[in-house]
Formats: sequence, structure tokens, C-alpha cells
Amino acid sequence: MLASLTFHLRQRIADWIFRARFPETPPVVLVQRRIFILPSRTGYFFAFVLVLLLIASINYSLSLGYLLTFLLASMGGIAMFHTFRNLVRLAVSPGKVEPVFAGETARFSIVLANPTLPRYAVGIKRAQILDAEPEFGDAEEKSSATFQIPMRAVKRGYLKCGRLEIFTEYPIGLFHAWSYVDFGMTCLVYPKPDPSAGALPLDMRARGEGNVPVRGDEEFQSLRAYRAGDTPRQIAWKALARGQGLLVKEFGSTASADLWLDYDALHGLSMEERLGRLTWWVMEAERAQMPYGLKLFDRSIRPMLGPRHRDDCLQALALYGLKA
Amino acid sequence: MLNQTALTLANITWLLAGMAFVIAPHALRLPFWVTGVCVAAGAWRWWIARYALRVPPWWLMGLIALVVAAGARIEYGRWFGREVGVALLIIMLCLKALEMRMKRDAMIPIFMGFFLAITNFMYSQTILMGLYMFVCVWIFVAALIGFNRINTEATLKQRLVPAGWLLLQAIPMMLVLFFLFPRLSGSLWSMPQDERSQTGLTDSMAPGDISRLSVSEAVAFRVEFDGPVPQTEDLYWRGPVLSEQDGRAWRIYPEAIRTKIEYLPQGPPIHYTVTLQPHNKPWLFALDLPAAAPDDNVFFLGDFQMRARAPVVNLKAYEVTSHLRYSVGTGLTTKQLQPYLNFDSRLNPRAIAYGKALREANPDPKVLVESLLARYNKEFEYTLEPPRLGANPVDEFFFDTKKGYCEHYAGSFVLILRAARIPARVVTGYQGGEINPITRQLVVRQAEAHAWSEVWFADLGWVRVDPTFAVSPLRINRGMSETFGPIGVMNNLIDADKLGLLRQIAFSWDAMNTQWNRWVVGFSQDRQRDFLEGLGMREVDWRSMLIWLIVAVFSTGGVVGMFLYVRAVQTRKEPIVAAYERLCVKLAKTGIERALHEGPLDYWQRLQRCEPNIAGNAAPLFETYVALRYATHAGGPSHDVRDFVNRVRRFRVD
Repeated sequence: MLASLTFHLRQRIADWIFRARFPETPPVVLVQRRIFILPSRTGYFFAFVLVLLLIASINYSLSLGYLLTFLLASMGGIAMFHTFRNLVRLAVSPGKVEPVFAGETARFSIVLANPTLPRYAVGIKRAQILDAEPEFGDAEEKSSATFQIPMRAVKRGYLKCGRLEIFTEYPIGLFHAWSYVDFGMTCLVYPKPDPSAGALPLDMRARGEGNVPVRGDEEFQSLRAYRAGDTPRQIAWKALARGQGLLVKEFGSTASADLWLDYDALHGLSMEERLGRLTWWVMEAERAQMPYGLKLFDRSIRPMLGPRHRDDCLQALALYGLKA
Repeated sequence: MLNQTALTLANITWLLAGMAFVIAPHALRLPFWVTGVCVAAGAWRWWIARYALRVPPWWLMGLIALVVAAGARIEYGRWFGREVGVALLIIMLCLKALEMRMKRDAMIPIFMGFFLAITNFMYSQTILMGLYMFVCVWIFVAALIGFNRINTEATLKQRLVPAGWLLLQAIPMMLVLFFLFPRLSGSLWSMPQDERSQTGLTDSMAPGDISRLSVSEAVAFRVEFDGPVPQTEDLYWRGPVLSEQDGRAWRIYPEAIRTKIEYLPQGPPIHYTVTLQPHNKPWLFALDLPAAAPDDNVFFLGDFQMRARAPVVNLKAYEVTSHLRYSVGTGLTTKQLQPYLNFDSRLNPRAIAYGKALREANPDPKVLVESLLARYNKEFEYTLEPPRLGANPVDEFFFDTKKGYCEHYAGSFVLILRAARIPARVVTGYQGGEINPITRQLVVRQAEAHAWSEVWFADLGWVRVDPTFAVSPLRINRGMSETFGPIGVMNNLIDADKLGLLRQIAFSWDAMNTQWNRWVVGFSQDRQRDFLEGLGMREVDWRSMLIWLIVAVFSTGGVVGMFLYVRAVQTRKEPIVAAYERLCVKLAKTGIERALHEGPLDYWQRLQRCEPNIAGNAAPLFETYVALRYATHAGGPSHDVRDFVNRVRRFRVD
């Protein structure tokens, strides 16, 4: 209850402080004014223990008790500087984010570059959700540390990482120092492959229009007029340059072997179900090393093979029907 | 959970080590079974960490806690009080450490450890104890740092070094708080007093009581004289006056006599300050005979015993004025003198008969006392190890063994005088003392405990008569250790040391203790007031103290914080770059300064054109620099870099 209240309060304050400033350009250096610091729960408990120590010292007139109490109190105060020091001047930049399938865990990498003294037990967590699980790491002197912030990808499309909280309680846990960064990092989430799609729809081959090559060793055959849906790769740019108009190159004679994964061919299913099956087939075709093309409502990708082609197809499926 | 990783074997071992260190001084005072429970709990906890076992279930922990608490109740017979409180705290600490499940749980034993450190100060506030507790706190902070490392394990160095820095950096602010935090006098609430055995004089004297002290090197009190130190034979430090004879022992007269007794000083006053070690008894010591009570909390009994209103449980400093020559109690009535004539007539029949016979032979009390002293002088022997005495100790001592210590002499002397109808009483205290040449203070040790007597004469009043002096004048003229040689191990060593080096060390150590007592242990409300007035605070009251405190704490904190911040943000230059920059500064003396945009080779070429000689000398340095700095494997071998740095240091432009 209290935790959630303070959480929301802190979010509001952070929103207000960082209004219209996100996303930021990396690297973000955690300078002094970006770092907040407050006693942690352990810190308040420690203060309570100090009061008990002081009462015991007063009551028994223990001069050395006073000395010990004040030593610990001063150490607590000094620890605040150390906790702050554990965060200040770290340079934060976003790392690579690999696309995932819906249902998997996306990992946002964050790189902390440390130009000075070693930093220990620095944590990073997503700031905008309650009880986010933090990731911890150390950054040795003049080196950097990479953190992977996990986040469950539920839906296809772009998954936003949101604001991140970088925090630490090192060295003695009495203070919690934190700072926010937001690079507007996103992770591309492909639709969840639907195994109920079954085997590859080889019967779809015949329906292909036979105007794209099957393999990389393209056999150029002829030119024909451009039609809507042709990809830029098929356009005969040289012919266009010669002033012959917009023509499209026609390849190969093995058109009947082309595998076309066609969105429209999947009747009676919802959009997400169709996308799930198409995703499954893309992965299957890739695994079987069988060239495949993808035909969606607004675009088609000519049959090919290879990781780049697969990623193009998966991206088209991921973003199908979503606003850019 | 991540929290689990904090309770690694190394972290647990550090925590247990801190606990063992902080409990150790208590272990000697604790009942053996409490120590046993602690060791068992610690070993169990270590075992759990070592073999990644589960901690005991809550019901088992509860059962153990109940049994142990009940045991403590039976052992001490109460729930409240210092001894039982410390025992319960230690047990709780060990059981809490046993049932730790996650990082958060580890904070409680560490914080309890800090509290236990303070309880040790109830028993001892010496320099050594202070240093020892600093080490304990260091270990606990090192453990705390280990617990706050997440996913990686801290090495020994990574624990001790930052923990040590944290504590060292805390010291300036600690001192500010210590000297400026407003002190209270007295307790917030009264605590039940516990029985404590402390070396020192008690309220009774039986044969063997004082000779038991003669081996103790413990300091009883220290004295600082405003003027010169009186002769050793005048240094009678008056303590409990024992007027009642009760079988074998002499006791304090139970009805504290508060009647004013006439006191006529017959000599110059002597001013001095006594710093008394806590002895848990109400009496204070002063040079025979104190004239005035130092403050309201001190009063005199009719027999000139100086008393505090509460037992002295903390180091106590007080100023006294005494006169070495005096006349007191000349006009006492027979009724007032009666208590000093009573004795237990059932015991020591021979001594009593002797006293009566003595009176018949010598009607003049002074002659009687003289002849009795002459007998002591002739026939008796002073020894630290007197033979054991039976049911009639005075009879056996006076007629048979004739060997004894001051309490034998004083006791038998007073008894025989009383039998002879001469008022007399036993006075206990200390005699002598040792001057520390460094501090010029007189140090009085328990070994200097002494007993003598006071005899009443109608014309003189109470007169101090020391029968021990009759037996062994050296004991009084030279002091204890010179007469009997070394006391204890420490003095044995000192005696064997011909160069006097150990004696110097001993005196320095004592001087350090004096400063420690003055500035740390004895830093009371009054001392603080004097100190702050000395600093220039005009009115020492709560408000101004609080303002001073806040200003001082924030400024020291700010200075330390700035220092830490600057060190955190500054990036140290690589040594090779720093050395090259030094080289350029040296070369700039030729008038040819390196431009900011200039690389080493461009700069050298420009130098070559203007100052070919110097450029020639510097050429190998530039070569090395370029090779080290811009070679494919950056940095180069470290010894090359060091060599380069040294060559730059030796380089001269002229």
C-alpha cells in the first residue's frame, strides 16, 4: 500500500522533472544533478539503532559509548557520499536489442561505461512498473559493464522499454541513490509462431504468379510492365534510366516450385491467427531451406532464402496492420 | 531470489567473526552455558552456509529461544539489569544470526553487534578496549560491505579497505559530535545495580583483605597537585574508617556520624585534583586530612570519611584541599567516644588481657602507645605472605606468628588500645604513590592499599599512628614497590630493564591514559562547559551548543564530501601522458611552447629548427613516447613506461 503510493509519487516527480526531455541522446552521463539520494529502509532502521545507542550511552554515562555512537552516525553520513559516488559520472548508453517472438522475453541491453573508480552492485530496473526485478552488475575501474534488462514480450509489434532506473545502495546499504534514463529503446516483437499451422502449404505453390526467382542464381528471362505489388528489387532500373518506362524483370522458369505464403489464402481465421501461422511457416520454410515468398494485403516479398529475407518477412508480419 | 546470494559462506563467516570478536570480552563474565549456546549457534550457522542447508524452522527457533531465556531467568533471577540484559542480548544475537534467510536479515545481527560493542564499555573504557571495539566495528562494516555486493563476492581487500576508509573519513565528524553534542549528567532512568567485583577497598577489613590487593597493578586513582608533591611519608590517602569490631573483621560504623567535629588546620593548605577510577563504592579518597567537600554531591562523615552520594561507577575527577598538620576532635565527650572503645570480648582473650595489663602498667596513654609500638618494632616482621590465622586471629598473630601485613598491625593495635580503654579506630586507604615524570602526576595503585590507626588523646584529639611504620619504616618512607620490589609481571620486567627503557614506556603509557581519561572517558558536562568556554563560546547553553554543533557537523561533512566527490569525478591521467606533459613544460622554458594542436613529432620538428641542441637531447624521449603511446599495443610494457617517466624526471633543458 505504502510502497505503491510512494512508487506512484516518485513516478509523478520523475515525469515532472523529465517532462518533454525523453528520449535522450546517448550516452547519458549521470551527473550530479541527475542523481537522487534518500535513506533506504535499512538506513532508517540504522538511525533507530543509533538512537538506542545514544540512549544507552547517556543512561550509563559511557563516554566511549558516545564515541562509538558518533563514529557510526558519522559513518552513516559519509556513506551517503560513497553511495552517491558509486553512481556519479557513469555513462549510460543503449546496447543492441535482438528481436524476439511474442511470448518470449525481450532483453534490452544497457552499457554502463565507468571512467573512474570501480563501481559495485549497480542495479538497473524498469522504472515504470511496480516491483520490477532489477539486474545487478559491477563496473571495474575504467571499464564498462553490460546489463540485460528482461521484459516479457506479450504482443507483436514494437515493445517499448520505457524509463529505466539506475540505482545503488553500495557500500553499506543505508542510502538508495538513483537516476532515470530513457533512450526510447524498442524491441521488435514477431508474432508468436502458431504450430497449428502444420506442414508447409505446398499446394500454394501453383498459385504463385511465377514472376520471381527461386534461387540466388537468377536467370533473367524478360521484361514486363510494372504492376502494383512488385518490389523495388524487381524493377529494371537500367531500363528506366534508358527511358523505357517502368518495367519489371522476369526470372526463372521454375515458377511452379515457388512457395507463396499468402495471408489471403488463410480463410476463416482472425488476423492474429493468420499472422501466427504465417510466422510458423516462415520458420519452417527457412528450416527446410525451401525458398518462400510472403504475400500480405498491402505488400508481397518475393521468394528467397536466408536470415535477412527471414527477418524482412518476420518484420512485415510483426508490423502488419500496426501504425508505423 | 537475488537476496539468497547475499548469504554466501564468506559473508556469513565475516559476520560470525565480528560477532565472536564483540562477544569475546563478555564471554569471561557469562555463565559457561550461554557461551556454549553462542558457539553452538555460530557453528550451526556456519555449517548451514557451508553445505547450503536450510535454516532451522521457526518453531524450533522459538523453542530454543524460550528454553534459553528461561535458563537466563533462572541463572540471574531477574529479567532486568545489566548482566542479564547483556546475556539476553547476546543470546538473541546468536539466534537471530542462526535463522537468517535473506540479506535483510543480516542487517539485524550487525546492528545488534554495534549495540553489544557499547555494552562492553560498561565494564571497561580503557584505550585498549576502545581500540578493540574499533576493530570489531571495522569487521562488522567489512561484513556489511560484503552483504551489499550483489552477484559478486568481495575479496578481503575489497572489504577491509573501503570499510577502513569509511571509518577513517567518519572520524572528523565523530570528534565534532563528541565534543559539541550537549552532555547530560546522570541517568535518564535508574537501572538496578548489579553486583560487580572490582579490586579496591571494601567496607570491612579482615586479615588477608588488603594483602590480597598487594599484587594488583590496577590504578586506584591519579592525583595532580597544584604545588609540589608532599613527602612520601605524608601521603596517607584516607578512605573508609572502620570503627566497629565484629569478630574477625573491622567494619564501617553503621550509624553514619554526621556531627560536625572541630577541625583546626595547622599548616599550609594543599590543593590537588584526584581522578578516581570507578570502584562501584561511594567513598572517595583524599589526603589526610581533607578540609572541604569539593561540591554538593560529596559530603563528610564525622570521622572525616569523604563520600559521594552515589557509588562511583564512572571515572570521577574532584578537587580537594587538605592540611597535612591538623588538630581534630579535642573536645569529644565520653558518649561520642564510646563507639571507639567497643570490642568483641568473646574473641582474642589473650590480647584483651594484655591490653588491660598494659593500661595498669602505663597510666599515661601516650607512654602506653609508645611502649606498644616499641614492642611491634622489636618483635614483629612485615611480610606480604603472613601465615594463616585461626579463630582468635589477633591472639595468634600478636603472640605466636608475629608476622603480618598492615591490616594485622592496625587491627591488633586498635584492639589492644581499646582493651586498654584508649579510643582508637582503623583507617583504610592508600599510602604513597608513584610520580610519573612525564605528566608530573602521582599514580596510586591498588598495591598501595594500606591500613593504619587513629588514636584519641584528650589534649591532641585524633592522632594518626601507623604501627606498620614501627615495624617497617621503609614501607612508609619509600613506598610499596621500592620496599618490596616489583609488583606483578609488569614491574618484574621493569625491574630487569637496566636501561630504564621499559620504565619510560610505562610512564608514557600512563601519560597517554591520563590524556585519555581527561579528554575521552572523563569528558563530562563540566569538562564540556570548560572546553567550549575555552573555545570562545560566550554562553554555554543548549541553543548555542546546538547551533555550533549543526554548523560544525555540516562543515566537516561538507569538506569530507567535497574531497570524496572530487576524487570520484577526476579521471587520473595515464602516467605516460602525464610524463609527456611534464616534458613539454620543461621544454617550454626554451621559449618554444607546444601548441595545443601540435602532435609530438610536429613539436619536435619545430624545436629542431629553433633549438637543435635541446631537440637533439630530447629526441630519444620523443621517440620513446611515440613508440609507447602510438604503438599497436597501446600502453606498452609497464616497466618501459616507468623507465620513460624516470628519464623525463632526469631531463634538464640546460
